[in-house]
Amino acid sequence: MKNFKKNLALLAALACAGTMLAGCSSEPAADNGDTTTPAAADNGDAGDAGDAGDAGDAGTANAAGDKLTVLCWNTDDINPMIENFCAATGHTADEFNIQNFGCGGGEAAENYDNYLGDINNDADIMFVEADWALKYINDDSADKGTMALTDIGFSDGDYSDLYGYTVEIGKSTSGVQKGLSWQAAAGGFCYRTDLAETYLGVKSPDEMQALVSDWDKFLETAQKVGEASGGKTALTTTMAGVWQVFSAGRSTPWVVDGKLQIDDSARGYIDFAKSMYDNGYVIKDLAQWNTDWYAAGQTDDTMGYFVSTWGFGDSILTQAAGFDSGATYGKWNVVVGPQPFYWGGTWMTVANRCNNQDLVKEFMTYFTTDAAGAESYARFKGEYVSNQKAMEAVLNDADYEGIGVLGGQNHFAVLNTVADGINMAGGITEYDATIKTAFNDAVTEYCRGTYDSVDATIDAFIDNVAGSLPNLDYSDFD
Amino acid sequence: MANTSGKRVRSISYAKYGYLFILPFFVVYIVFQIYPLFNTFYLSTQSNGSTQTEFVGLDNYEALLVGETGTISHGDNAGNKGGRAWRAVKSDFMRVMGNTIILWVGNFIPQIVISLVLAAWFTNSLLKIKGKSVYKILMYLPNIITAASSAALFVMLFSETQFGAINKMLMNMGMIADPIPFVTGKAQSRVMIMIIQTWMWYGNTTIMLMSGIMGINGSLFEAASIDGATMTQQFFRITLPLLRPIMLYTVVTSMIGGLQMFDMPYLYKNGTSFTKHIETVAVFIYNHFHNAVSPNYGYSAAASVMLFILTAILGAFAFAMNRDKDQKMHKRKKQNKLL
Repeated sequence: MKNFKKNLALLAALACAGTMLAGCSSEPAADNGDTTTPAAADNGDAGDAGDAGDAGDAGTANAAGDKLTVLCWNTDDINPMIENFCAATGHTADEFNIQNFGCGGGEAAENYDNYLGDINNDADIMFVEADWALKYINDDSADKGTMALTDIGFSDGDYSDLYGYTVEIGKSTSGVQKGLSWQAAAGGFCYRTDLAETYLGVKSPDEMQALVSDWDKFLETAQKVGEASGGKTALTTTMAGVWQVFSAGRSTPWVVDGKLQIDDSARGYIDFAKSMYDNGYVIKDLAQWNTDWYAAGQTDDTMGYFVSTWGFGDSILTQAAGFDSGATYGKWNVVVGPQPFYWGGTWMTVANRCNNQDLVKEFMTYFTTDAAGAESYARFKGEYVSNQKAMEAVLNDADYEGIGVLGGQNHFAVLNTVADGINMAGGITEYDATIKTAFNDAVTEYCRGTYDSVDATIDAFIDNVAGSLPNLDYSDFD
Repeated sequence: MANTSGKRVRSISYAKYGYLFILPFFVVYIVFQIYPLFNTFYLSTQSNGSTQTEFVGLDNYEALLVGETGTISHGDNAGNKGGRAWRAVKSDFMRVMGNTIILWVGNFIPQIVISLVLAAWFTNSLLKIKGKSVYKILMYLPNIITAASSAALFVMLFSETQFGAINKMLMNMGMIADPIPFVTGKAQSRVMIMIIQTWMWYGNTTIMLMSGIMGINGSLFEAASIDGATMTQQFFRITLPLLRPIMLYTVVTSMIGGLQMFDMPYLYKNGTSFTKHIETVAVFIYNHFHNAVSPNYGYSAAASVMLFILTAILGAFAFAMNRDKDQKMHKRKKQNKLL
């Protein structure tokens, strides 16, 4: 019994020590969350000095009484933005407080909710990702909601220079402008020039565009490539990539009045996908973001990828080409493709608790409606910005040499056409990411032969959605 | 102790210090174990789809177990049938439950067989195996590699398409014409998970069983071999019966671990979409809890509670099955004596 007590005490002591140590390791993260309250900021915690916004002490706060707090999930964008903004306007980085949650974009909303749950936490600008932007844009509540941009001094006529779709996505379902993006993530169809010449006799991007200008032609061209290559080469790499583009052409939103909608183009896509898959016009069962997805770009198994503005670098195309010494580096060209589409992007919204409205307005204006500011940032970061005037100034620049992976083609000109052609008016709902994935999952299973008919596929799709979004109305499909 | 405490020795009581020292443990235990446990029960009675939840009674359990025909008891739709949303979530839940049980059984049986054989060999003094400790380390190694790395490794090796290492090799050798869907195929993906789980955990189980076997009195084996018992007889008549407590421990821990199996099924996927055939209850719970646009706390908490109950039942069953018969007899005799 004595021994037992001793052991119990020892165990308890160890457990305590263990939890204390565990507490230590996570402390910096917790600290990070506290820096916004003035009392904690006074401590000037040395551990967090890495972030530009955290560098200063509370004493340097601006006239509005505190710093401009930006909620984000990484500092890839906000750090260069602040640097560029401060250099141009004379503001200092001390006026900013970056609340970086350091997670994937998909997990950011959960962190935001926790952070905003405490009304004492400061928040001015909230970065939101296209997939879940509407969660906050549609929210008018005092704690988690966002304010209309007219409340901080924008007017609805200010956005004429911005690509239309970036403005549309920033609107709430009732049509109130609440968010603006500084970037445009328009995408095009990238194809292998050497294979195109061999199999299709195509010598220029214009000739290629003529062959893939709509989905019927796309399918025809895929057939030609398949026949000419003896079934070895697929016109494009993955079904998910095709769906990303195809779904941008839908006319009905996925959800209307809380009810799930399946429009005819989505229905039509199921057969289209099946014929692409069965005939080997895509690489069967290959998934995006797998290592194989990149590997395919260096073989003759695929002729094309759908790539968005941010994907020309290492994140997609350059990696697929095998980087600058790769087998297919420089053998790519980009065309508009069958359907203008966008892929991803980040929007800025203003939290309802915002107490720095003047600076927020200045900051947002600089990166969006102010053509000079946007152009300066486009050059500074190499970003494809949402301001069309700024972008045209960059792409008309005679000195611009294009990028290596495209063999020097000026992709900005192509993407400008795409971005101008995207029409998302009223087509966006906060559920899009979930529903699009569910649809693609069902169609993938249909292609593999799990379901034997289009109706069964749609049924499975509705089940996929109903399982994860229980609050929608499915009475039409009972 | 009760027998020896006839004479009471007067001494200073150190008991209060003891309690003081163990207090932090209980505080931590209550905050990080008891509170979350009860909070899970509480959350399982809350609504889905928003971080602002409301009370819905046992609706979540009805959704997961009864499905379409269940009646909604609270909220705007009170009185209506659960409908399509409940049907979908029920069939999902039944599927993941089935997957969990299949995957656990499929990795536990080979694991325990391999481990028993290895443990019996390595503890057998007649076999004189050299470098036992090296083998022990080698067997334990897969368990040290983090699940994330193992999953990445297997996903890469067994990739679906003609670019995957194994598929490419088999195709080049002319053994298969089309790539095998190791990640998305029903049987293929399940077998892969079973193999990976067995590979990861057999070392752990072997070492556990070895310590159990070494705890058996060696003279029993000696006596048996003098009496002419073969190795097989010794194994079945001495080793196995005396290994029972350790076996029970292994079964119970493996069962709890198996029912909560998460890392491999979650990480072993083609690109970003989950393979439905290997989705386990833990993956279901995680995905519903971390759904960005529609956090379904109710579903995930209700599923957790049911998993908890299931584990408790199976655990109790395992204890009952393994209860020593002699011990039972002994107890009965004692009771009779007292009467």
